[in-house]
Amino acid sequence: MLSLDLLLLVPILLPLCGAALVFLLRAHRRLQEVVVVSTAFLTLGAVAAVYHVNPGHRLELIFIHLVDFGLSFRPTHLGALFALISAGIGALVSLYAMSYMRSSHSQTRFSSFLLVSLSGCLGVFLAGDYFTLFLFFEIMTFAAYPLVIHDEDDEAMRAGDSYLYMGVTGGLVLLFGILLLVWSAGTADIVPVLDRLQGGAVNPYLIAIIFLIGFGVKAGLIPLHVWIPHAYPVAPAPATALLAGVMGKTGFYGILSVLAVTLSSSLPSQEVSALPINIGFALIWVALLTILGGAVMALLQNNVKRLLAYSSISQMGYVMLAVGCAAYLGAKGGLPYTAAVFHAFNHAVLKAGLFIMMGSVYLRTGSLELSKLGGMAKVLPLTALATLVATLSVIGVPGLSGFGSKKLIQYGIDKAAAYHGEPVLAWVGPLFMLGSVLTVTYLIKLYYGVFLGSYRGRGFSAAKEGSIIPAVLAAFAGGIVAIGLFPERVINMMARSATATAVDFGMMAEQLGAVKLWTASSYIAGVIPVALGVVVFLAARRYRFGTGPVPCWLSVEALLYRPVTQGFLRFCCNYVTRVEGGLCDLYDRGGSVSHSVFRRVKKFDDMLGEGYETAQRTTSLVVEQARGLEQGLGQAYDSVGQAAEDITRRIRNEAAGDNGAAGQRPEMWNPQNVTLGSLVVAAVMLMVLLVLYTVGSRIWQ
Amino acid sequence: MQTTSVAVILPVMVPLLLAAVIYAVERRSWRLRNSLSVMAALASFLLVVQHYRTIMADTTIVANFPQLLPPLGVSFRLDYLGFFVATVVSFVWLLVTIYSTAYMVKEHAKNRYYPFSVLTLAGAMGVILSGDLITFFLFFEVMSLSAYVLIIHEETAVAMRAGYRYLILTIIGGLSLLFSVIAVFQQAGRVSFTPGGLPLEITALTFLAFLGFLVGFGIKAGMVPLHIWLPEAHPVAPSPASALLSGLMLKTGAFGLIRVTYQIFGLEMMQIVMWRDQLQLLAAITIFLGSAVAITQDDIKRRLAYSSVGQMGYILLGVGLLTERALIGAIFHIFAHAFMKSSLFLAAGAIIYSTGKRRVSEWVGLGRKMPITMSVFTVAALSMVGVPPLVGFVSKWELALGALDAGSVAYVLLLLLSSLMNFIYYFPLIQNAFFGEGVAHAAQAKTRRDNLPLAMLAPMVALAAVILLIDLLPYNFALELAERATYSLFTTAR
Repeated sequence: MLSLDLLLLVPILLPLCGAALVFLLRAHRRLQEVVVVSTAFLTLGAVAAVYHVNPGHRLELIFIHLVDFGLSFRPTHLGALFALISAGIGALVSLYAMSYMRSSHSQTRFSSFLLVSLSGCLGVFLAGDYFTLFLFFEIMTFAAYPLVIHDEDDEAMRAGDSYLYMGVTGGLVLLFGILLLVWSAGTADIVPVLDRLQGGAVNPYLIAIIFLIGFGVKAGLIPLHVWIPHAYPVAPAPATALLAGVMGKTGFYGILSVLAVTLSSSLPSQEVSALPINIGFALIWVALLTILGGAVMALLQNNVKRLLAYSSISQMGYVMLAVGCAAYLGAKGGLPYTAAVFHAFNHAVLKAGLFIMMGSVYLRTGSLELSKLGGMAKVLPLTALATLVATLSVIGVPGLSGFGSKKLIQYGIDKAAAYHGEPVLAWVGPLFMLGSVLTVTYLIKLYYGVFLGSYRGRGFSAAKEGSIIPAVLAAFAGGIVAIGLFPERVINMMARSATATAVDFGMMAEQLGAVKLWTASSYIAGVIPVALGVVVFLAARRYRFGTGPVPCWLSVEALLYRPVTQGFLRFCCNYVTRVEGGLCDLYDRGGSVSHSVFRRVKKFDDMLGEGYETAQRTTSLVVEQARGLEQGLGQAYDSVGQAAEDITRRIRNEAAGDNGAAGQRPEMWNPQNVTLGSLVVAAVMLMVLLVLYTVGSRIWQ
Repeated sequence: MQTTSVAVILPVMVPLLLAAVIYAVERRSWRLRNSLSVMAALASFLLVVQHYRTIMADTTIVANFPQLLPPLGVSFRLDYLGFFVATVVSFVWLLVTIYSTAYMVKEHAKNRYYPFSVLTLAGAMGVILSGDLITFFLFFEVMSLSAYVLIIHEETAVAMRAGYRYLILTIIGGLSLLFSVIAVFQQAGRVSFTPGGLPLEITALTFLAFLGFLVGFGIKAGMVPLHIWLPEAHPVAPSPASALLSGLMLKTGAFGLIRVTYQIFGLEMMQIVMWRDQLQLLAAITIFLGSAVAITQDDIKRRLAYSSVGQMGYILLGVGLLTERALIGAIFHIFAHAFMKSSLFLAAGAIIYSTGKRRVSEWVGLGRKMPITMSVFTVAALSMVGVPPLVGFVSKWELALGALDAGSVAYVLLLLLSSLMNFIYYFPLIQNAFFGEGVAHAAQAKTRRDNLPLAMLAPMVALAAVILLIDLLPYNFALELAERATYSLFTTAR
């Protein structure tokens, strides 16, 4: 059954198919261009249909078993709105890229990854849960990498590394947050779960901070912004427009979803949780740091795109300031909520437009250094006009788009300062004004440096703009003016996106109704920062402030990231490898120890053998001696026996012969009696003694 | 439910017999030798897969041969876990064998390589399908010893040294396994894998038996500090053999540990004693050390080998956490890592085969020259990092949730840190190959199909396609099987 819900898949799958088609049509440049542009516009149409249908019939598409956890698409009103804005900018960018990239290398790669990134962004906005959101977030991060490093020189590669390593780290932090959320709340859906989180195993503050860090990398919150000043300037203009206009907004969208929906209570409890208030309070200060830091850094830059990159950071600070106020005010935060959405929308259009306009300048001059530009108003009058409109709008001149959103943010700050009577928050207003003044200053610096004065570069390239680029520029400028002329309608559109958030709808309508944009006092309030900014600019010019290189101690990267990453890598390279080497050594040493033990055993074995041999030799000697002894003894016995026989015989003979001399005792020891036999007996006895003595002395020696 | 069927032994016996047949006929025809080797893996795969329906009907197939090895008897067992791992191993083995028929053309001593490769397959299948510890031990030794021949294939001094180291550690591991088997037998009177574990008392001897298993399986699985044979042996082996060793053989160690943990000691006992803490700690060290050392390696195969050490740590951690989701992650990661690491080794092998470039720093511009191979490599590497929706993401997700279930946030952080480290050591390769100034300079004439034989290209692409697409299928049967295997281990444990 073909249901209306399947409409949600179109904006995601269409650009992917388009990318595949572009890849297949490598050989046909023209056809490729047609495919890219028509895909982008068809996607815009599909998103417009989603946006149109969604309020009446909440679109919902769930795939339970896809990628383990299951994917779901269920755009919130805010998501659908930003999908629409993104698709619109994406379509204009693709149109612009068609003529901008015509002379570039690797067009196939650029176009196909542009479409994949667009698909990723739309997926983020249309996702129904954080898991799906994360999936598309990662796809977007990786797909935008080839866009960032498109030029492929050393600078681009370094910027790409900075972009991707930060992006992946941010993604992993986000994943950590999602894991904690899923584990403690049991769901990843973008629904209020604060009640479930409280009293759970994980501190909800931890989850909030982790989400803020994860999304903050993309949104460019200081100090997580370091990739932006690297990546924006090196990417080709259409890619930068997409990064600044669309991708940065995914971070904003994520933070707003977390604060306004997820970390809000689903039950109408009496007790307002302190968590959104505290987080909002902290975010206000981080946002102020971002505004002022970005603005000061922008003021110090001499490269147009780097200046705009810092300006982009600073402007996202404004958006975050409003988000912080909205979170701080909780249900009463309708006004700052609308201001945040409105300013994010404005910023998307303005920054995408400004980067594209600077792209046209770059096409003609081949340089983006302020020292090599100037006087471009004569060469590119239309671009100069469009840039003027965009610049004035960023400044907040009445009648242009930025005016309304800045005004709303100011109202929001006032509301937040008055809400709990926190005295510190009284400082926010003046600091905000300071930011506005700095904004005016750096924008004058930009406009003056590029379009006014005299050209300081070396000739122009002959590239013709064609008719498409002016048309795109005109579309952006026209949009800015149109929003500026009818802010109420836009504000209503933005306010509607607060459906199903923590914001109290009735109270918001009341607050918005009280806002008077078109009053004399608000014009005057708008003029003050402009005047101050001009003064600061003139002063800075007088003292040549901000023309030299940027001092390195201002770089968070040099202060924090580089030492940390290098330290970690050194730790891996030196210590862990040493541990590993030590382990191998240990085994080798174990081997050699056992070898030496074996050698010892062998020596022992040899010794035993020797011992046995010695023993055997000794034994045989003893046996020989014993045999000699036995022989000797035998002989001795024999001789003794012989002698005894002789004696007996003689005695018998004597007895027989003594019949005559009877009674006479025979005289044994008479020398005549010493016969040969008795001598032999004596000799044998002596020999036996001798043998016994020698054997005994051998043995006991 | 349990049925008895002798068919269970076929996936083991067919390659065992074919190894002998190949040895007999290989001098006559190399074609016959190659096709028989492929046939052996294919037969093994099909003979396992044919039981799909029976297995999915919650049936365990067993085959007992009490008359062999009299007091103990030889037995085989095919349950969810065995079926899943056996399918993965035989399928990847099939692809790698097809790849090796083309890759090994340039090598010497092919007549020695093929029979031993098939013999190793028989050993691995025997390990996976065995029904008791003694059968397990028997096939474990067969596999380990025949893998030695694959490792020293090059027969250079380095290879011989690595092989020596492997052999010594393998024998130590085998002996400590044998000790543990005897200890278990002495205590329980039998050594068959029993759901819920054998009736063992918690004594010093039981603990020694556990340590023996830990050493024996740890050596095979590359657990720090017993891993040192691994980064030596994998780089010197021919690339398809490295893919088999790193992608599949390491898994038998982890597989054995799962079997022993859940079906010898039993979950109940493991939860009482504190041994799991030691296992978790060792796994954590393994993850960190493997990833960190991989960053510093310049030889691609050494880098992949250290990456394997780190990834095996994931599996060991999943086993040691003793929660359901962690075990799902571990079992799924056996599958995921088998596919990812095999395709990485095959892609690296294809590059070495065609360019001879082993050093990571030399890979500049390879993406232009060998786009298909490098795309395979990129997909597998990003999956290693855990980019959704690739296959490696799912195991990381389950493992992380499992770690949270076990109440250890630190391990979740470690997993994420390790993902970042994976990115740090894989990304420069991809970057060098596809992007950068050098790429434009190194632009070579495009080659058709990367200048590789189809037999090498097709297996790589098939592996990468699985990595890329399996999570996007409406019915992810790999995850389903991993879940069912886990539930069967856990429900019988209760």
